[in-house]
Amino acid sequence: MPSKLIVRNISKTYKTKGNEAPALSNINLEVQTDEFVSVIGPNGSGKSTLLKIIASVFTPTSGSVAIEGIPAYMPQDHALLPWRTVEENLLLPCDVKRIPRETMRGKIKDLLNEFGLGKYAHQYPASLSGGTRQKIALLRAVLQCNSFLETDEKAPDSRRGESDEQGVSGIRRGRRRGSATTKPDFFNSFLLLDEPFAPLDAITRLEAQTWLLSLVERMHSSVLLITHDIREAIYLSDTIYVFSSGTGTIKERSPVPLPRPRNHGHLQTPEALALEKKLFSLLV
Amino acid sequence: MMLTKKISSPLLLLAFLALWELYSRLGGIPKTVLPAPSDIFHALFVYRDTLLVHTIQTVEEALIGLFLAIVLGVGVAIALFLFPRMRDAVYPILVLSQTIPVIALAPLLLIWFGFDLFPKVIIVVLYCFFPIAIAVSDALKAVDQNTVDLLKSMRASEWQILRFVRLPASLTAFFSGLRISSAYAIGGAIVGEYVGAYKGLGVFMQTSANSHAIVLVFAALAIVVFVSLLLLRLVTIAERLCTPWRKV
Repeated sequence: MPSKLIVRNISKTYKTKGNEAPALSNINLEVQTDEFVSVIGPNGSGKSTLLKIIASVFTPTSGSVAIEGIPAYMPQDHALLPWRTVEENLLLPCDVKRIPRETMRGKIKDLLNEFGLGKYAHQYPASLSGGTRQKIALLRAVLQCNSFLETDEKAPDSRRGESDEQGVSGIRRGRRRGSATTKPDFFNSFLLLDEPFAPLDAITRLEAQTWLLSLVERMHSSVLLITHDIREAIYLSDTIYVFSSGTGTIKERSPVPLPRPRNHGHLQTPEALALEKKLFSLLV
Repeated sequence: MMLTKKISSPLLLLAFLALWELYSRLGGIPKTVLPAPSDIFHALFVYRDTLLVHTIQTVEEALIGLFLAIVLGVGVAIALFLFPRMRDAVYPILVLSQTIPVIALAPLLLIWFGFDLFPKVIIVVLYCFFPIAIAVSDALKAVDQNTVDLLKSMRASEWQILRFVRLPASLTAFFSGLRISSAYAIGGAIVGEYVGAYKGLGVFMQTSANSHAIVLVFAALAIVVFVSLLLLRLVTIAERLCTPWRKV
């Protein structure tokens, strides 16, 4: 299976007045096409820093990131713009890429209806529940990938070179040939999710996890998820990377031995319980 | 005893006016010094045409000044944000400029620009510009970093981040600044007129005070209060229209 993301020897050091604080040290990580990968680790272990480097928000001190296509990043908070309705929030990637809104409105309507969120199209985020906001933010991420595909078809992304200049060496950005024309819309997106369910209560969280799985399976998305929650990582992922406390290194890479499609009952199987125990011992 | 129920402002104002009327009628203070509210309302009716001419002049100065203060305040705030080095140099000067009393500058402005509309507009701008510039300038910087990171991940330019995130996020702060400025605007115009003008409520109050027609001074003051409240109300309506998501 082809790789969606290859991270090689990424290091990041934050420089403050007279001090250097290493956040990541020689990180190597890979995400295959259609694979769901989670990164777990304690606070301050550099998980979010890694995700921001992959999303081109930060530049690494050294190392390289190779990505197929341009991933969509969802920050820790849902980051929905409160002054935009749900539909307008979903149009944000189009606005940034200067794609005429009318070309996307129909697709957005279809997407919202497909996932049972059509009734919220003209509502502001403040009127939505926490779970619904997270779902809208996830759909925006899917649309973000689609917007990039649309613009890639029309013209090359002129900003790519800047990323290289900023120090992300070896980045390979380009649409998978034919994917926008031979597959339905929104397919093959690559989502970078930074603790998307952290603000939710336990019940909403379980429901949102299942919703994410259905989204990912239907859209054939590849995902790199940051989470604190071991059970969430096991339930959702094909592979789990464990970050070590404080040092910004990867301690372990564990495949998840559970079949798909998944349900929460799988978490009670001996394999899942053994993995949970193993991951827990690695974290404490 | 603690007041447990909310007292409405109009009711409190009516009670104050009633007490004032009663005190004045009982001869507590001569009407030539403190006229009764009924005398003020009577003067408002009798001199309505004259007062209207002066009011229009003052409101014109205030609105033009406020509009220019908005343009200048928002423009300076955006420029300070886009050019951080300029911000470090200009921001302290902006704060310093507010320590100079505008009333001391007013005679100079009249000497430089004459008795027409322009110097009064400048005075209104000097009063109104600062609250808007500072509120917007601070708000542009205080945007949620998660949202900025999201836009960066979309490869948005700094200009796009400003347009899609920072400016809309600054609207609430802008209206807070504008509310303060609109409260200053009429007062600023009157300060300019007090120093030298042909028309306006400031001139009217000055000439009335010089001829000991205190009731007319109070009549003009009543109009100042009414117009200022009206302006504040208009700002509140504009804020509601421009920030519909806050009603949710």
